[in-house]
Amino acid sequence: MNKELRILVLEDVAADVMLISRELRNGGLPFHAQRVETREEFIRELEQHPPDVILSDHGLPAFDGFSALTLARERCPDTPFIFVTGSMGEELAIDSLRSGAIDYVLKSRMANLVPAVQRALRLAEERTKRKIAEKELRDSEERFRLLVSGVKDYAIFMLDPEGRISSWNTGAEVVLGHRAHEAMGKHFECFYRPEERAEGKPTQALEIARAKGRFEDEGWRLRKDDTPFWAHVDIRALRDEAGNLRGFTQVTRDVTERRRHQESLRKSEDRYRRLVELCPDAILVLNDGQIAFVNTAGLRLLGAADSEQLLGRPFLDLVPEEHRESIGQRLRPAQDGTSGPWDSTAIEKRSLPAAGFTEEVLNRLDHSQIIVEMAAIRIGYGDEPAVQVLLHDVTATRAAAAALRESEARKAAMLETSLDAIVSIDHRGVVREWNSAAERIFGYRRDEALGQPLEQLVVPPNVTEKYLPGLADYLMTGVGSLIGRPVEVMACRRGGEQFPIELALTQIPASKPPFFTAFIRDITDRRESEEALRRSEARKAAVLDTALDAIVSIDDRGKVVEWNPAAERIFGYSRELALGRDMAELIIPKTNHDLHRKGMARFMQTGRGRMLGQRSEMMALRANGGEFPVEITITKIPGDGPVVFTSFIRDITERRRTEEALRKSEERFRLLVEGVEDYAIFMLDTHGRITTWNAGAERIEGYRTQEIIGRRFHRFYTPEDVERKKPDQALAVATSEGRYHDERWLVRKDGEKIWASFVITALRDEHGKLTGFSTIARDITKRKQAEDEIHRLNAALETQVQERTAELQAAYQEMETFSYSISHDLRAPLIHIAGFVEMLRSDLEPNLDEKSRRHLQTICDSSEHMGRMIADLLAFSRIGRAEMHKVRVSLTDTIRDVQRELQPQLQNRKVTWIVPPLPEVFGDPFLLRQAIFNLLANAVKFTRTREEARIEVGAEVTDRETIVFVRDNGVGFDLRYAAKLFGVFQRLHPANQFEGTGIGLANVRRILHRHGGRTWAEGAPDAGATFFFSLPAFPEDKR
Amino acid sequence: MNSIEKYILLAEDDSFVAELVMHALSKHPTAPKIIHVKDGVETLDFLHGRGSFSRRPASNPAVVLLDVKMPRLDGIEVLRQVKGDERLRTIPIVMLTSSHDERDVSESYRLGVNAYVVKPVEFRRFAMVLEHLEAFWMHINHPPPETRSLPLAAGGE
Repeated sequence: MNKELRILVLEDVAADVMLISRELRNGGLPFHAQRVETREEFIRELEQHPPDVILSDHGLPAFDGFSALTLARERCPDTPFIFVTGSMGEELAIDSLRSGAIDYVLKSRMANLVPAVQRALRLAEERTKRKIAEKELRDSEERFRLLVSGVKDYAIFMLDPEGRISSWNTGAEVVLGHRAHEAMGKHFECFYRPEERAEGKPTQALEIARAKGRFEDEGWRLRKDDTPFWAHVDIRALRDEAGNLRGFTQVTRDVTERRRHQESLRKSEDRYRRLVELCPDAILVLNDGQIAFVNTAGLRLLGAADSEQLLGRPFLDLVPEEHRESIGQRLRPAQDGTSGPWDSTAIEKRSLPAAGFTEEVLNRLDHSQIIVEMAAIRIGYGDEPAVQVLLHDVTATRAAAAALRESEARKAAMLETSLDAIVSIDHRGVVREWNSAAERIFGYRRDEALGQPLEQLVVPPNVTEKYLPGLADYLMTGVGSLIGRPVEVMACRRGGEQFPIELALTQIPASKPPFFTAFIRDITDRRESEEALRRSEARKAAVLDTALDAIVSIDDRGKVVEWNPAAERIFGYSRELALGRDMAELIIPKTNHDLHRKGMARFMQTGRGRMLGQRSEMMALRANGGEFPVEITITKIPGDGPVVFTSFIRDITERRRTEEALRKSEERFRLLVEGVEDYAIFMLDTHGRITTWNAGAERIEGYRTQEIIGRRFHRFYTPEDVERKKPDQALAVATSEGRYHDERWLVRKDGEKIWASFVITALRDEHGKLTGFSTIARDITKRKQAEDEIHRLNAALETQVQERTAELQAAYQEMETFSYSISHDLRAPLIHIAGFVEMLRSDLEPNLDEKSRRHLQTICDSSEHMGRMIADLLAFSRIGRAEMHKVRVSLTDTIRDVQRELQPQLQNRKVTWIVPPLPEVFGDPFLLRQAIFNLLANAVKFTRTREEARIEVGAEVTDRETIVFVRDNGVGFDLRYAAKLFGVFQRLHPANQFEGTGIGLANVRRILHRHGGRTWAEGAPDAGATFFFSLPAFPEDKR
Repeated sequence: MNSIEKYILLAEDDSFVAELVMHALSKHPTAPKIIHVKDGVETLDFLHGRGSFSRRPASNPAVVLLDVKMPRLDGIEVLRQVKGDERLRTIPIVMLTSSHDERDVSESYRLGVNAYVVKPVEFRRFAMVLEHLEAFWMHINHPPPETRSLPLAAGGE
């Protein structure tokens, strides 16, 4: 405040004036004080030298302070008026403030004077500023009112805080159909459709505008005559300086035309995209050998979580190295198409023959391999020539066929064709079963997975902590959180990628130790579609942040007079920079300058303008020199003043881009579909009449496009199926469930029957109304024939297996019954014989002669011997039936163990053992021990007659087997009878010389046979014997 | 009949074997009392004290020697019913049978048999087995208190 203050002092006492002056000086205020005493002087000063501040005494001899205040309020209402008085009662003080004084200061408290003056000046300054601002606002409002009322393309109106219309422009009359007097006072909900009104949409719109300042929307609105139009709506909240809601402005544009255009593009694009996505086989498009497009089936087939993992990658990356060259060659003729612009007609001229499928092997992203039928054809993709690759997964079919060749692996084949991963683990969590779906889902081959702890393969690291204790818990308590109910959890693929699965875990009934089987389904797709839904919700929210159009006004010389924030944003010039500049220079590309100038000149001369009131699209220029498309509407503001043109300019770069992208995409998919030869792809109207027809349909069904369009697809069905209403049922199912899948015989034009797999999908518009169907069909006659053959073979095999099983079961049953009766019924009489002979002997004891005693003894011995034979026979049959548990067995340990057991029989004998270190073998430890026991016991027994027995054990290991021998220097045997040695109850020596039932070697042979080994013997009478047995080498994985 | 007299219940359809058992144990110094029933149905009737066995001794047998293979109701089924009956389950049961069949053995132990003995063919060993059984179940083993009296005594006729 450096300016000298003019202070008018109304005071009769000179001393008081000096006092005031001194106080002001001390306060540091530069001022000039003028003292007056009378009414006349006061008025004259006010008029001639308007003061900045008035200081007035209250009681003056000829004039009173209140009259002075009234005068001052009249003549210069903005000048602050302060009472400086000797005394002032409270009532008077309040009166003075109420009358307009800004403050009062008591002469006894002169220290308050300076602050009072400063405050008064500040208030006065603010008041002035506000007045100026208000005036500007009024002027600007007036301008906008004129501007707004002249606009025809935009309905611009205001709403009060409750949503009732409080202003209405010409555009609103044009767009919405209501005249201003009809609209005023109406609630704006009348523009909404009744169902949206019922849902509370209008209220929500206002709530959002109130909370966020702004609400933007596109949707259906109703005109006065209830005709709907697609509207772009922008509602903004209006607030006063205090922040109180004063109402809303709403700008509504009719964008039905644009929407219709986009909609039709989108629908068409959508339709083709869906066709491609619906295709059950993988479709890839290669651009320059790199993957430019892949459908959902392709992602699944190749093991990709999303297309990002594949797009841009060379297709040959997926081909195992040894096949790269041959596949590369197959793709080459497809790649080297004609250069230059590509159009759909080029497809007709394609040099490739109709693509035949060949069988190839591909690597999935997880490095597992799949077998596919592959076809490649040349297509146009956008503006580029490209190669389309179709892949049909036949891994499962091949696996099934392979399994069939080995009938033993039939069970495996069933597991393999399962869609779900089936994984079995034992009580330690070690994988025991791993089907091909598990291979596919987790990326580990069966041979890699078997024998591995499950947690190292598929349990994500962050869950391992829970998994292991969970398993231990279950084993101890039998209570498991996962057993028996499907849950969704995360699993881990080879390479560490985590993905969601549905897991159902069961314990194999009565398995001890427990054995679990898990059924696992990859639900990545399901999760992803949920994810996509969430993302699109988020996008919708983001749309609210876009802004309104640029508004640019120019005067008759083309100079910018209005430039709103949207214009700043769109064109890149600030308002300061733009105002006063030539608009053409700023935003019209050079090439259009002449046109613009001529248009301006014509209007000035004739008052007519071609552009006026029209919505048109043209190119505009940004500050950075970039040109971009805009939609522009120019309006002349009516009024008396100079001519002003106002343009509403919308940046439609994004819209153009979208439309272009849609158009291209539509084109791409259309070409994709039309070019496909291996699938019949066609569309039906709601009555089943054919509306589109592709090359594949022509090839598969045999009809040319012009022959079939408009005909009903019923003609593809066999007469019997038509009779049974199959075609109508198919459409009914597709209509009610969205999709219908079937495999059946269809009839070609030439009457030949083909076995086709096809999917019919219902197509609906945005209102959910059925518009027709899409159909994708594939000729799988060959596959069908192969499958039929497989089924036939399967059935034959099944019958054979059932017969054999029944025979085996009968034989086994017989065997069971036999051994049961042996063990019970045959023994009972022996017990009788032995028991009653003993009673007889004890009764006759005193009178029994030696001969009779011997006879009785023989009866006892014989029955006892028969009892032993029965027991041995039972043991022998048990060896054949016992379950085998093969492990690593140490021969050295086993022999040492058997030697210990034979120790009692070696009393008083001289036996030399020759046992070098022996290898380990693979077999059932108990059965092998029994075999070795029998051999060593034999050696001990048959060397009994030797003064010094020599028993030697040895072994020889070859690639294929381990051969073990036991050699003794005993009584030996005649080689002629060697074949009999291993028979049941075969003895080469009299029983009275060497005891035994003759079952020992039969047991040895049976045990070795069960291990896949052999037994044989060498020897000569009285020259010792050598018994050999062989065991197969360790299986690969047990080494 | 002395109500606390100890006795053996022999369930055996083979009368020759039954005779051998009696003979073997009659030579024994303590010569235990043996009651012989001829099949599974009779065994259960006896243990429940019903039908012709309503006047059986008030105390339960010190041991039941039970053959596996018997007409009408076999030994395994008798064992199942005895061990499944709250009032009978504490009566010791020894399978004395000529069946070697391992399923009979494992099933018997699963059902809670007290011992499973295969009758030896040789009579001396047969007699020895019986003596051991007699000695253990009649003299060494003390049954739980509730088996000392007839299970139906409280509620029966």
